[in-house]
Amino acid sequence: MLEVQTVEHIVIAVVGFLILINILLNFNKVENDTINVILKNWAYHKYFFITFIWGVLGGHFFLGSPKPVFGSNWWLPVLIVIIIIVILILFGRKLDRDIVLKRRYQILLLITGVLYGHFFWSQRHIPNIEFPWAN
Amino acid sequence: MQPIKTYLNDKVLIKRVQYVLIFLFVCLIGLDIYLALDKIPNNTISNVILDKTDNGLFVLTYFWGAIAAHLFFTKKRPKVISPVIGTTAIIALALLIIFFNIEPKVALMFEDIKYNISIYSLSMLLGFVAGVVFWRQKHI
Repeated sequence: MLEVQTVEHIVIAVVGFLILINILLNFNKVENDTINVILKNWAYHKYFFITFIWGVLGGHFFLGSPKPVFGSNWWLPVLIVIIIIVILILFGRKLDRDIVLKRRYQILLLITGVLYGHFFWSQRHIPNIEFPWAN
Repeated sequence: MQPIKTYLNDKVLIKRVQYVLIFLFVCLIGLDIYLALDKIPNNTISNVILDKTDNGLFVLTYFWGAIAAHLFFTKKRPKVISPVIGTTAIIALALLIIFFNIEPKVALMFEDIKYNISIYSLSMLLGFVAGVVFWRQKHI
């Protein structure tokens, strides 16, 4: 069993670890091995789903609409986001190896992600609101 | 970092960092699924982060925006601001937010608006703008 505080420590430890190894990677002699460069290359080539996830998590963690679109089916937005990500990965893998995405698509992915996290996968849904189209 | 260089060439090291990142991400997802299903309520990673933001970590949302600009909004023209100055500016802005305790002040401004979660969208946007100005990476 993991208490809330343990989870906090785990999250802080992971973030601290990432910052530390990124500093080390920045000052070693190998070029383009830092985490930011790796993530940038992934996001601009085949794995642009990362941009979408970053948006979704931002909307999910920090924003969040009070009205649940899917009623009490809390698992539905999770399932849909997994399906969207799998589709994005499969689509990305079919693209050409050297493809470089346009910057405007990155912004589009980020904004779509935030809107999804805000409206569909919100943590601030007021419980027990029933909609005619839910249930 | 000299020893690593002698054992590995660049490509191998980059591959290893990629694997570490994927491994960490998969671990976090696995942990979060376990936390969602166990008996203690509200201890998932999302809950922990939400509690932190509700308790006043305006700076967390600021960093979300700054990192989003850093990773996903690259610069095609040559850089005007050097990465060292840019990073310092980003961290200095975060320290200013903490030092002047901006969050309650912004919350007070939005007091009359019932839907006051929008204050976080404000700091996310602030972070993104700061990231675009100071912290963009070179385009591929």
